[in-house]
This record gives sequence, C-alpha cells and structure tokens, in this order.
Amino acid sequence: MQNQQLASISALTNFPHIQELYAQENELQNLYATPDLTRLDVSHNQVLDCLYFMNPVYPSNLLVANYAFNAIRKLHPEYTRNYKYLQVLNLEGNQLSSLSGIEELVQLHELNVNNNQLVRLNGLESLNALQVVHAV
Amino acid sequence: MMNILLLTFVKNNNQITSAQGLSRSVTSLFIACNKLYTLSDFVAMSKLQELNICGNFLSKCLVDELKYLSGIDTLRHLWISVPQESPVEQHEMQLVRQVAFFLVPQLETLDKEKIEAESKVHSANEYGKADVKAKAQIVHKYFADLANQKQ
Repeated sequence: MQNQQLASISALTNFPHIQELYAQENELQNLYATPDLTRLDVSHNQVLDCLYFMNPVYPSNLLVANYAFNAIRKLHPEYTRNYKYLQVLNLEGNQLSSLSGIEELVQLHELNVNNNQLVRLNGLESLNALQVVHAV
Repeated sequence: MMNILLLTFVKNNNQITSAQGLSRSVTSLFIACNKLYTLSDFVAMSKLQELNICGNFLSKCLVDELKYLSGIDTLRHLWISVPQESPVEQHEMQLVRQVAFFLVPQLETLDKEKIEAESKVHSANEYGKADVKAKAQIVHKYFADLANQKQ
C-alpha cells in the first residue's frame, strides 16, 4: 500500500490474520493493527504516536517496526510496554528530544534514531539485547 | 534572521554530548556529526566492534581522546574523519590516523581503509614506546609548528 495517499487504514481490521503491513509514503496519522502483526512499515507518514493503534488490539508479537520520517515527539511507556518482543525499531527523521519510554522494549536489538533532536542517550542503559545504534 | 532560523530548523540532527546512558551490550554505534566532547564514557563499552565518531571532534582534540578506545579489545572498525577541506586539514587528519594505529592497534579498518600491519609497525616505530601523554605532545608540537609556518 505504498505511496497511495492513504489517509486511513481502518479497513485493515477486517483482515485479522495479516502479519506484515507495508504502508509507507502515505498520509496516515492514525494506525490500526491486527493481532498477528509481526512487521510494520509506516515510514514517511504523519504518525504522532509510536506503537499506538486506534483499535483495541496489541500485536504483541511485533518484531520489526519502521516509523522513520513521521512526527513522533516522544515515546509513551504505556504503549511501548506492550511490545516485549520488538527487535528492530526505526525512528529516523522524527522529532524525539528524549528516549524515555524506550526502556520497555526489553528485546530491542537494533535502534535507528538518526536525525532527531536528542542530546543524550538515556533510556538505553537497561536494554541488554541492544547491539546496533544509529544516532547521527 | 529568518534565514538563520529556517536553517536551524531544517538541520535536524541530534546533538548528543556523551555516550552516557548507552547499554554496554552495544556492538555497533554510529554517532557521527553530534557534539561529543570526550570519549571517556566509551571505556565501559567493552563489546564495541564498530564505531563512527566522524564530525564530532577537531583533529587536535581527537589526539587526546583516542586513548579511551585503547582498552576496547573488540573494536575493529573505526571512522574518525569527514572529507577534509584544505590540504592542511587533510595532513592533520592523516597524522591523527597514525596516532590511531598506534593507540588502537586492534583496529582492522580506519575510515573504511584496511590497516596493513606495515602501517601499525611504522606508527609504532615513529612514536617508539612513548606513553600516551608523550605521544599527544608530539602531535601537539606538530600542530604548533604548522601554525607557526602559516604565519
């Protein structure tokens, strides 16, 4: 569903068994998820909240999430704490000034926070699975 | 004034000042073009294999900071220099690279270039068994001479 000027993907909820969602380069602000989702790419949209979905579903087996080039300003622990298996998170090109909330992603292996507004890396201390960090 | 504001807004990269708060499990860190002022926090990063710190330090300052990477036995790939503008800057960075061969001999590549054993030996011969401080002094003297020549 790339580059379709989509403003909503609420119809996704009719297909509960979708495991991978690729919806980059649209106009999405609000996201919907399916319970079995393992891979999500919503890069180049207008998303404000990382790992928040409008429908009451937690795709708790999510492994890879790409939120690059959206409008995310902060991470909320009440959302991040639902994704204990997330391994790869791309937040390049957002407006993060802090990584607070990221400590909930205990299995995180790879993080990209290039081109944000960070002045420190606090929040990553306890992530013992973390191996790769991009923070240009 | 508007232009300056606009530029500040568009230039949207991080301005991280230290490695504090980073998990010690990290093996690859790409932190180019930030505002690191010291590498002392990296002493604890004992699993680091790849490190990109380009565009954080002036070459003069880098000479004093590389010692903090000496003890990271796992470190194999290091990036320190952005394309330099003037021949003088290029020369300065080349000198800093030699210091890096000497201080961080466990490296396999520096700025993407494979380090030949020859370079390490050359560097070791050049600087002998001088301790880190003496070595930094040699380089500082070089920079001072260079500045005098320019005048």
